[in-house]
Amino acid sequence: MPSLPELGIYFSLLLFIIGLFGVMLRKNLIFMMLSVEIMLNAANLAFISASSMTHTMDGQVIMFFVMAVAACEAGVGLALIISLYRAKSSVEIDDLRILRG
Amino acid sequence: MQEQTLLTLIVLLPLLGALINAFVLRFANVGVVCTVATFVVALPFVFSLMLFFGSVSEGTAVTVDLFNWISVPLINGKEFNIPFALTADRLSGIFLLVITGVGSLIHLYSGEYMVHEKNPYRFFVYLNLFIVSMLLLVLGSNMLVTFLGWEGVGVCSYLLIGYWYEDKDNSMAAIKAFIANRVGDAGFLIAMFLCYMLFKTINYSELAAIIAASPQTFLADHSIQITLIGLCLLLGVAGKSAQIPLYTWLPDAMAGPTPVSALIHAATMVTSGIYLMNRVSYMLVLSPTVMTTIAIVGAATAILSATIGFAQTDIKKVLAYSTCSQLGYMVLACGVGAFQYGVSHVVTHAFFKACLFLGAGSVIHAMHHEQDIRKMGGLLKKMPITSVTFIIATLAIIGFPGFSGFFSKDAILAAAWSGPFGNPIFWFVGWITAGFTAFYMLRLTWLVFFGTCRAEHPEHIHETNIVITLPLVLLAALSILGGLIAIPEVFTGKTDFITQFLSPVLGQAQSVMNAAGFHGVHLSHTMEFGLMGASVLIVLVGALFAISVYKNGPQGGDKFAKAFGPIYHLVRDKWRVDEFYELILIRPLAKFGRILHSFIDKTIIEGVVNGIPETLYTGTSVASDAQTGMARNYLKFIFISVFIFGLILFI
Repeated sequence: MPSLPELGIYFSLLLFIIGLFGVMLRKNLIFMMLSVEIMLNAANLAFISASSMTHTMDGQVIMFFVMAVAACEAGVGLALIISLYRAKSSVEIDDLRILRG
Repeated sequence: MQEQTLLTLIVLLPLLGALINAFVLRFANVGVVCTVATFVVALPFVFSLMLFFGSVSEGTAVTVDLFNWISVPLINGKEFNIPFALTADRLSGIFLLVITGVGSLIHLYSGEYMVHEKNPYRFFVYLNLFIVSMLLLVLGSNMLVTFLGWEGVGVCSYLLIGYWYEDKDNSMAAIKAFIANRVGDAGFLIAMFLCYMLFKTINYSELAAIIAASPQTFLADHSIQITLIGLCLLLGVAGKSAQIPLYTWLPDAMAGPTPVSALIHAATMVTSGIYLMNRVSYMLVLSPTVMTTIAIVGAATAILSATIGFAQTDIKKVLAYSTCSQLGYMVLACGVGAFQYGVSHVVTHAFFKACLFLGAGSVIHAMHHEQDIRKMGGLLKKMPITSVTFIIATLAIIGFPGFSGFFSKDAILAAAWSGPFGNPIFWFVGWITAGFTAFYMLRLTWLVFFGTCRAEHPEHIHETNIVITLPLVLLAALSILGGLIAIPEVFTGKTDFITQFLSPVLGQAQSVMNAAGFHGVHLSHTMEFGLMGASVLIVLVGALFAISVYKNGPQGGDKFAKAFGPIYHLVRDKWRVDEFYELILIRPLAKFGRILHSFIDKTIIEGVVNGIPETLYTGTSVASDAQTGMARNYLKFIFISVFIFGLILFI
């Protein structure tokens, strides 16, 4: 039976894969953002597990930074989605190809 | 100096005429164009006369060295030089007169014949260029200048046969003539190279001097090379002079305008083979094999094309086959060692054949482009001048006593029996051919000019104007008088004119033949009269037979067609030689070409050429997938690259 921090690492891997597939397979921008949040949380979980395994505080400090950045990202991201929806009447990612090369 | 200038002008004037017509008078009317074109050939004719009756007929050759044409330094420190030099001696003098004389008459005639053409200037430019090439051919003092003219006449012949290039048949005929000539030209080229290898020169006078210095050496030690050179030259001659195996282009060449048939395919270009054989006669006589081959080719062509003449119904085709046949006589004359009689027949033939062709042109013109002799008849009353001149020329070509063809042909027949390489068999073939010629020529004349008119609108047919009839009358007069140059010894008691006249040129060949022991047999006067009588007899038989068969029109021949069934069809289809060539040469070559096309071209060459851009295209299309603008694609790349990067990092 692995220890609790080890279980946290495995769980964070699972969460990250779920988030990654969510980003890759979803077409709706909002769901894609949700999946990105899941991936960020997976990363946070990995930081915390690692810091409890090494008995240091570094991981937990970084986690706070990540949460702050994630909150900003969610705010800016949602604002972008709203203005995109105003311009194109859609939040489907396949419709938004205006930067195509 | 004076004569050198004349000689240069003779070549330059027609060239100038061609340039003026091509660039200045493009849109002038036919009268102006024709006047210029005729003038630049008629003036050289006057110059040729001056030159001819000046020093050339005295026996002095006039040479002019225009410029150094080709100059290549060789490895051994020497230099390979080909000067662009012209020489007029007695042999080229005769050809000079025929080319410019008959040429200017035909230019004059063309002015009327081509009057309804849209762009007549094109026709006259080609004609003038042809005259330039032909003059270079006979005046060149080395083989390369001759070859330049030799190719030039080929090109002009191609352009003129295909003058009405919008018609596919005409274009095909032009291509056929061009290709058959190329085959012959390859022979001439190889002969020229071999000549340079063996003698280290291709200048005619130097060649003659080298051979004259030691004929025995070349007879004994170099017989294989000499034979090879001779046979390659013969191939060239066969191409230009329409001999077996390359004769099939000449009848098809009749697709061109009639003045072209008269000038190129009867009077001048096709005789260049005879000129060449005379020019290098001292070399040909070194090899009995070559001489016999030449004689056989000539005799075979003479009789084969005469038989084809029996069943042709196109007035120009009959004349074309008769040209092949008469050229066969000339080649036979050269082959048996009587080169000068080849030349005399060239001269008389130029007169009467040009007259026949121009007469045929006059008939075709009057009949509104009808060429089928079965639809003619009774033209004697409607077109008296054309008819009488045509009949005179016919009598000349069949060798009717007193006309020019009689003397020149009789000289050849006598030489075929008694010449240094002669043989009674050659005489016999020539004799039979004379009968055949009389038959098909009288068939032609009778169907066209006698009997009842079978045209649809006989009332429209009338004599053409003076521009057409004047050349006819002049040529008919020459067809009677031209024989004077070959009146045999038996009538005058002295050697005939042409033999005497050409002896400075042909003496070399004569002395080689004497040295090698080829003397020929001496014909007694009784024998000679006997041969002459036999010729006259067979000519009369042939002629009367033709008249009796065709006296009621073309259906007279149907009885023969029935009686000879398969043979008649074979003759009418020209012995199916074209089909034979098609089967053994053209189709395999075409098939080979298709294999090359599908394998080498498509697979290898196009594979490489198309393969490079295709690979690049595939590569770039993969790269351009990274630029779709689809977020999920970008993610895919990010994920894959991170995965790969991770693998690299951890393994």
